[in-house]
Amino acid sequence: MMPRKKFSPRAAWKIVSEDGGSGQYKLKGSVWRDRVTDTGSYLGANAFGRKIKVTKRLTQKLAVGVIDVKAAERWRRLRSSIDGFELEPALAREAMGHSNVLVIGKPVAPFIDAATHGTAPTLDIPIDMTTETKMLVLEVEEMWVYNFDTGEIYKKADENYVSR
Amino acid sequence: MRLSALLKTLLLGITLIAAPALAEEAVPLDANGRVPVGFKGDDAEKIYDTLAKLPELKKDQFESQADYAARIEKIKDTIALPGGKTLGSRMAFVIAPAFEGKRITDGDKYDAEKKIQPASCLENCL
Repeated sequence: MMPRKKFSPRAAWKIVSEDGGSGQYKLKGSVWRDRVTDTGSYLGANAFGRKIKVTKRLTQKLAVGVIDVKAAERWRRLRSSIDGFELEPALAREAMGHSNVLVIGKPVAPFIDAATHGTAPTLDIPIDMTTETKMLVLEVEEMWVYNFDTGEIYKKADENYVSR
Repeated sequence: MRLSALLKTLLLGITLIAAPALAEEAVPLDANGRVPVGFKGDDAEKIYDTLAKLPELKKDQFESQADYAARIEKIKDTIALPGGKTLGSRMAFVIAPAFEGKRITDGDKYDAEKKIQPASCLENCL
């Protein structure tokens, strides 16, 4: 078994759970970190007896979640207000490759949520995948874009932002 | 009396102006109003793990939503979390969003005429 890897900031954020049309709004969140660990392997076989080596893979995600439609809309407005912003050319040059986002908010009930789901291996993708998601539920109040080398704040997201 | 009321209003106004923005509770800005270099923010994983071990945060089946909210409101500032925070604290999380290998602002061309820096990756990654 391979050792566990530490969470590290990484690329893809995505919605991990949405309203399934059930009328009940499910937690919705953005993944901000994940780690993937291969935990072992076994010899799998399909119904026709074809055997293949299957890798067991564990993906652990850490996400921020919002609890209802209103909070999701607030999140969308905050994010939209920083997806394009005024910046002097010299600062824009500095910002290239040196910008992060600060998400500022307070924990709200139910505070945390967790989910686990699995994907069965196939002949094409012989990976037995388990995904565990830990979600911290926040009332997001602000998002700032800033330069992590200089600390300069380029943009503070405005919740009153109206989409262009 | 009227003068005293006016003074009170003025003092309240000055206090409100002088009070730091709420977010600054979570981000200790330096003297130049910048985020301190090396600022790591709050550790979301540690906070999650701490919250997961607190049975008092679970809503009892015999507790109404209103009762639960009232109970949490009473105890939230006494529940200690990593980083010297409590459940009632404002927190800041440092996110390094990127999409398809490009970090925020890297994948977009700066508009030098309008002086606009697009950050379209946020649509996909935040």
